[in-house]
Amino acid sequence: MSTLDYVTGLRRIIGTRPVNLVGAAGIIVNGDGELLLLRRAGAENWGLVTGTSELGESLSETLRREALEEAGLRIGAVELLEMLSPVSLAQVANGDQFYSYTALFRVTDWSGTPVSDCMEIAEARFFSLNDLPPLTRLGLKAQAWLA
Amino acid sequence: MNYVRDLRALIGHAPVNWVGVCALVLNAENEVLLQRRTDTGGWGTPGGIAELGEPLPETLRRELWEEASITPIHPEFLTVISGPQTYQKLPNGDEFYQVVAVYLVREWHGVPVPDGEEGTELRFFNLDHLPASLGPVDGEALGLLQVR
Repeated sequence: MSTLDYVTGLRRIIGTRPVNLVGAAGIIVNGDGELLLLRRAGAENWGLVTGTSELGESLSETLRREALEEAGLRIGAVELLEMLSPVSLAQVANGDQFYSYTALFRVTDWSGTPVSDCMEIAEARFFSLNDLPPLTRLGLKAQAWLA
Repeated sequence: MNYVRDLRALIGHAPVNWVGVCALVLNAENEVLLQRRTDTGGWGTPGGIAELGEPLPETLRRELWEEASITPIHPEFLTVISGPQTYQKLPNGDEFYQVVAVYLVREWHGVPVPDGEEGTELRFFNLDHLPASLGPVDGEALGLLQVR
């Protein structure tokens, strides 16, 4: 199932009006202590592997699915760090409005080499904590947890 | 504001992911506060679904005030429960899955009093003598207390 199923189905009925969406994001660090960051197509800031839950999908499963879809990584054990509530209404290019509730996980076991999907994700690579690019809200959260 | 009612007016009974909170309110005897719910008829933890864009700590405060007339002091976030096991279908036909932030509340202002709407009765229960037929999320949330 792709992320499109639940949210697209909902959008067909409710249009662009604001809705609460829940999802997951993951802090993935390599053996050198570097943080995996992703830059979405059209975006300037770098953030984490993240996405919206399918209907009835557990949050850790959402993270597992998104890590594979967005960066080609297989995720093992994860640890929930915090549940982030929305700070403001988000709006995407097509006008869809939503508030994000995001479970932030630390990924303690993963495998693979990050590759961007070349569609949603423009770039995916590890950064030294001493040399981080401009960060999204989730990227900043990761930086704070790793400090 | 009533996010659930407004969204239901558009989507009907169709299944949806609801994000919300539940509170494990423990008194000095380590008993947990449960309420008898009017929607399902069974006992459950106080809590509920977030309004549109509502921060979850605020949902916790609002629901505890609405359902039990208490205000939590220093609630402790424990975990989030989510997944297929959270599925519920209400007697009115509404279907939903839940994503529930669980908070532990050991201190509060006020005396628990039921609101007469969502919950008809409030009572503290010994953790070894919890009522049967708890919902899936409450069973999992209360299980967190058993292992603490």
